[in-house]
Amino acid sequence: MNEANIEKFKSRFAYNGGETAICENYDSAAEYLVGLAGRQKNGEDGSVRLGLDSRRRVFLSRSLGVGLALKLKTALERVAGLVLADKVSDESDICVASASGLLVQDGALIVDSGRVAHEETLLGGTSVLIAAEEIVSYDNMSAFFEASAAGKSSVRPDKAVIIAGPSKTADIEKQVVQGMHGPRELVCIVLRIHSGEINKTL
Amino acid sequence: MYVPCIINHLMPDSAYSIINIFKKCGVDFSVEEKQLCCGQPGYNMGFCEHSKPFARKFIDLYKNLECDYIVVPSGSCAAMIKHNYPGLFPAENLKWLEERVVEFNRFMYDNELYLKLDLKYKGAIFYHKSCHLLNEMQIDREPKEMLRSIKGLRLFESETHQNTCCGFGGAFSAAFDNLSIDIGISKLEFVIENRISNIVAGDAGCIMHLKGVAAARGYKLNFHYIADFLDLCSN
Amino acid sequence: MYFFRGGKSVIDIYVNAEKALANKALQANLKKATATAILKRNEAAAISETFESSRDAAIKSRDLSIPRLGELAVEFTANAGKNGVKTFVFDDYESARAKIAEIIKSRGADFIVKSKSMLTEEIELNGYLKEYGIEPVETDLGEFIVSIAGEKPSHLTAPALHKSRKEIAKLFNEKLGMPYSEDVEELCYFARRYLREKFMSAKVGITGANFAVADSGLIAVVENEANARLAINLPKTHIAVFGIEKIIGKLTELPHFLNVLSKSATGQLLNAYTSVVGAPDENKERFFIIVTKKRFEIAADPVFGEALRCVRCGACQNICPIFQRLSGHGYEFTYAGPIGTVLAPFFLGYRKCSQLIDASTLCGFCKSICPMKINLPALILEHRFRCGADPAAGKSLYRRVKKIFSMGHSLVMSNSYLSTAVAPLARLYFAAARKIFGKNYIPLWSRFSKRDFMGLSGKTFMERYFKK
Repeated sequence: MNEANIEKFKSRFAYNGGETAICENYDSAAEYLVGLAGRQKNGEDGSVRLGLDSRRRVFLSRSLGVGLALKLKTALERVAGLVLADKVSDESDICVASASGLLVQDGALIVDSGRVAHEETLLGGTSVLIAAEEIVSYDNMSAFFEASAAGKSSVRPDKAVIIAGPSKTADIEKQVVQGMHGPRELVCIVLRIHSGEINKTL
Repeated sequence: MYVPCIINHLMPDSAYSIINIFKKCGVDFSVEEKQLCCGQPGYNMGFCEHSKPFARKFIDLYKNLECDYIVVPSGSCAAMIKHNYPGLFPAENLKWLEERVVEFNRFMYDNELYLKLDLKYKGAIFYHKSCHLLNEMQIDREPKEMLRSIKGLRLFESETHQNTCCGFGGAFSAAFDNLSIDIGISKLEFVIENRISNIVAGDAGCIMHLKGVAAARGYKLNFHYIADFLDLCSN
Repeated sequence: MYFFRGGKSVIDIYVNAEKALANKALQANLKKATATAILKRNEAAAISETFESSRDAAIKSRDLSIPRLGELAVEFTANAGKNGVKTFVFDDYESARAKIAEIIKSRGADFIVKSKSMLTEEIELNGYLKEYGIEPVETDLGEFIVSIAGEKPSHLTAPALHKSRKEIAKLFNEKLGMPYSEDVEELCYFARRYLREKFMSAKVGITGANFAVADSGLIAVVENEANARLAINLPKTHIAVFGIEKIIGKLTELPHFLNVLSKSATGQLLNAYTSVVGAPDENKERFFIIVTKKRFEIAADPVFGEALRCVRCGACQNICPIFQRLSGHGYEFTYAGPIGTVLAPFFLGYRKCSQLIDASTLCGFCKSICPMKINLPALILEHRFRCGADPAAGKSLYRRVKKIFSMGHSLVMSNSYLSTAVAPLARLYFAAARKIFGKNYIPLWSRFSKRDFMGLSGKTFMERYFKK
């Protein structure tokens, strides 16, 4: 993915209510997650989490793959007051899963429900989707559907969930409230690991 | 030059404004004494049959008239004539209507006649894009560019309040007077909130309605049909 | 109009408008909400590189599919079957409702979670299920509000558009026992917690479908709240109910529809969640219920066929000056606004809709904003033509008076002699009116002096120009 596409995606994703973080290495991605856990308000207003201690809970989806999950886990474990949850639930502050595709003009992510359980992008306070270095990016939705019709996409369209923002509603006086039934925040972490970095961590 | 009923009966001075403009621009024109209403009221009320006699007479009167254009100073009438007459008489070849009938704004703009008028004005106006002019005839750029060319004029633009109906709607204004008046009030209140006292409209019907609403509510606003305004600015 | 009441057999727009206009809070809400929606739509449409091209592609797709809906439904059913989804097609509401109730009952559910679906409103599913002892739980916030208030949705995409936060705060306090709060966030999160329990224990989830794709047997559901995703994926059984007009031919055409819908409906580049749904997960099951009522008749109509292009985005409602004042409830039909005015006569008949089809200024903004470029004003006008020819509708006093007006106008004004007599007579009338009322009073127009008339006092242009 070139620089211009990343910038465009970032601004379009923001228009839809999502936040993008571009991380150059795993530590910075982990650091970013820690920052997220600290700032998000899940539980404080009693919206989802009730009667729990103040420790932040992070869930790492299997869809991240063993390598990436391990690296994030190692980085996160260094942070005090943070618990790595072993299952996804509304008690999670952050659910981290992997995105399979990126729609640049639409500012949206394609999630493969064959790999990522629906709960992993629906429950908890903040949904984080990782766009790994090798992620496929499409100009727009049409390009994705054309590619899948030609058998050239990794995600089957009937398993595709396209996510373009946090759960929200404007049903009361058009005032936007995030976190209606799903996550209150949606974050995309674009991993741009330099080849040197990959060699180092390998 | 065709004279719509509202201009003929209620705003005869507007017809003279057009004549003044034509004279200043050197347009050779005539008015047909035998011309009648275009028949739109019956058509829009749902009685095509009632509009046929009007269409018949219009066609017979202008078909063989020697002229390059039949200028219709109303989006409503022009849409009726150009878009609906062919459907009333499907067996006839009415292509000439499409070619020769032209709405006043488009006539002035396409032939660059407005450039011949040395247009000047001091102050701000709100331009009401009359719906049939805008949505039926797709005439939006023409009046806008003409108004923008007026020296010293501040054209007040609003995405939401310019792109709305005034509430007239012909028979609608009588059948649903409550809605019709309320739509008009919204428009006028917006203009007043923005401290503008001059409204220019692209169709005379809108003026008839808005003026009525303004008078009943005691709003001090001046209404100008676009030809009146162009004529005013060229003096 | 004030003088010709329609009675119960007619949707009395005039009376409904009187009520709506008198409700100042409603007027303020509606005007603000619709104006915001239009601005957002315009902004998103302007950002998009592909909005206009998708519009054209989507129209092309629909124009191919509308005449062959029957065939496409067969293809869809077959392909959905290959995915392990059972599809049922019904023409009448009763059979569709009965089938849905049967599925729910046989799964042992006494309540269901439901996401927004206009079709379930159309077939009045909720009332039917309640009679069967099944509690339908609406989970879209707007629908939830409307359902606990015992009302119907008033807008295609914003069902509770007519309600203010004060009203909702009162409602939640009285019906759900929430401590009184007018804070919108608190109200939303209260509803979230309340509905969360329902989602977690529901056995059956019912959703609509925004589009159904014939060549692959899939449906697409778009939303922002995530309640449809929860209703589709958490319960063991998922039922999607939709009208046959939702079927499009090819999967590659789907993105064009999604592209135009998100911008037109809520002014987003894309909705928060777009689910493409086919084969059920392991140990789960899925049903598609398709309703065809009146759709074939509309599709076969040489003029009205294009009305089925509609993607139910609600943009025509937002921009309509009548809707902005009347609110969805004033239309007394499932689908409100310009598209509702076009569809209603097919379902309710001309007699009932004789006022409704006249309640339009034919301003044409709906036609410009409609992503599918449906010529709504022309279709409304076509209804007026047909209504005039309809024997049952023609008998009402209102229609008769209208016809006399139109005929009178035609007879007098199209006659070169009579039409010249109009001006002198009018001058006499207005002179008299000014003496009696002190102004240019016209009974139907002036509405108890809320609008003046310019009147005509001087000579007409023709009289002056040709020096009579």
